Amino acid sequence: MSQTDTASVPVDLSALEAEPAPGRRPPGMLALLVADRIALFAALFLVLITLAALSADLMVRWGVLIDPLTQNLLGRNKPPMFASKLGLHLLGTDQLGRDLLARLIFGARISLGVGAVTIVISGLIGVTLGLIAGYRGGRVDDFIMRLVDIQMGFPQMLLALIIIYAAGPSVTNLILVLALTRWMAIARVTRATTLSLRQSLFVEAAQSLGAGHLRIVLLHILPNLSSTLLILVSLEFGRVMLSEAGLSFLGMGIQPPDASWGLMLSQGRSYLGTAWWLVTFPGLAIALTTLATNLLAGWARSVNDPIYRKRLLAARRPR
Amino acid sequence: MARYVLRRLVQSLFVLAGLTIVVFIVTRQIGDVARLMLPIDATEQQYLQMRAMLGVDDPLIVQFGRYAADLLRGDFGMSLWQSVPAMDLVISRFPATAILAFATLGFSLFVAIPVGILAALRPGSLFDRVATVISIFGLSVPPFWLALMLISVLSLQLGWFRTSGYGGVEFLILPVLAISAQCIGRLVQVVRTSMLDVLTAQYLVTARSKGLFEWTILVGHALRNAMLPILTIVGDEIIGLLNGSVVIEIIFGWPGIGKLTIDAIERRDFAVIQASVIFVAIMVIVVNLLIDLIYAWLDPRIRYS
Repeated sequence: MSQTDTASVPVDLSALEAEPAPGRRPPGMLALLVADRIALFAALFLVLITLAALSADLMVRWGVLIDPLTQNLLGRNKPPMFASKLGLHLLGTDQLGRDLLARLIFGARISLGVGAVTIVISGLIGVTLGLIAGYRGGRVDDFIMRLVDIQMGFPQMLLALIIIYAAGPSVTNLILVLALTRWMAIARVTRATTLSLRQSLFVEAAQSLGAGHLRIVLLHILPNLSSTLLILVSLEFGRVMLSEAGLSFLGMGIQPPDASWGLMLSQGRSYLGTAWWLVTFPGLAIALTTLATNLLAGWARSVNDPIYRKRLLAARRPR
Repeated sequence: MARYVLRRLVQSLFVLAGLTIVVFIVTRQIGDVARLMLPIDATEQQYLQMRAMLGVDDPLIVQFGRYAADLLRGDFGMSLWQSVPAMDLVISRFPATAILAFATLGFSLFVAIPVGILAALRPGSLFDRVATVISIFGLSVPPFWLALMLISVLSLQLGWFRTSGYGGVEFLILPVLAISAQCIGRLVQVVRTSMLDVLTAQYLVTARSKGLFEWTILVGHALRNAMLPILTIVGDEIIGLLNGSVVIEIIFGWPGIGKLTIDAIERRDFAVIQASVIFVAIMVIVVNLLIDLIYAWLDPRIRYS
């Protein structure tokens, strides 16, 4: 039965059965990334905006970038490629005559930073609870999963709005609320994978060698979760960025004079008919960044598929 | 089956109880409603009177006890600003949210199912690759940005639609387009993958060798079996649409539950905030249960116990 099933899949399986050449190390993640052009572009884009965000202060000091807080009331809402006394505004200026490109780059620091910190916190909560639930099982598992179910039933967006309104909108509160409403998916996947890994032979072998629970969980189970978590985390990063943008858009996230992409969108909304660039570019920044993380997630998923992986490398190897 | 539904309903009570406590505590931190309702030059005595009248000067636990007792009798409290029962207000806004949700879902399925099937029929083809990239782009675009861009081009520049409002179909088109991009993106991917899984199955070979028409095979055999994963994601989409279109409702002035909640937060209208969150949570529970039941009905192998 299984024989005929695999035979009907139109894939060359001979590559799978071939032994790896002696002395050759299995291909690293970097080689796999270079082999997939779309994923490579996505990764380069993310690296580029991260570098731009990190070096924003330096660029202002060197005069490459106009200071994002300098207002110029004579040059308000000017279109892209407008030259004022401050310099050339590649993407135009906003309602206070500030340079849009500079604000976008400084906004990237907050938008990406909030996303990254949120993912780290929700990842830590989700992975820890998922590992405990999956490894211990029994009562502990029931309790944690019940908690996940209960919180999954909450209307997340409305609840986030109310909590932030009550606690006062600030970067810290935004990160905490986003992290506390987004750990459940990570916990669920971690638990499911841990549950199946706990039954595996190498865990049994480690146990019979006398390894402690902590050692088994951290050194044997966690490393095997890394690829699944990579996919999940990059998908979640995109979702968190969209949530942050939405909350900031409603005025419940980042507060002026700080700039995040979502806040810039909501500020530009009043000038929709007269200054299209104010809304277009911040939105494009959000869309492209989310697109890049989603593409990377797709790549990470397909690289975990051994058939795809072999095919990807075979296509690039000179014959 | 009945036992399963009963157990699920009991479990849902835990969700609702947890949510009620969380929302109650959080809404009390939002601000001082008495201060907000009185004119700025009100005396301290008037302020204290107002607080006593609204019942907000009792300890939190007393207030919650009173609220919980009312809830058990089906009383969600009065809106502080409109003197209408809060739940009535929420229910009166539900049709607007529901129309938006189901129009979006209908349109998304109408686009995503054919596109997903065609992509799965020729995996790796140009159509497949274009469909995949566009669907990933669709789910990466923030809906509220898409909404603003649509308003900017179609309403402000071309004058085809009104920028916002509520009423006939002409008001529905822009919000539906804005939200459905993400919906279509996710659905195309799920339809494509689940069709791909099904298309290599043995029973399709059998169906073909029986000489059935390709169309019958595709719809009667393949799509029917691919429906289960699609149904799961449709359930998630409905839930997302019921509680996630807050920003879109604000942009288009759409009088749904999201807009009602935001307005209520700004006015510290506690009862309305609580009623709308609990209402949405109940909707989420109902949709989840319905999806599970449809699941069992579609696939006789699934038996809940």
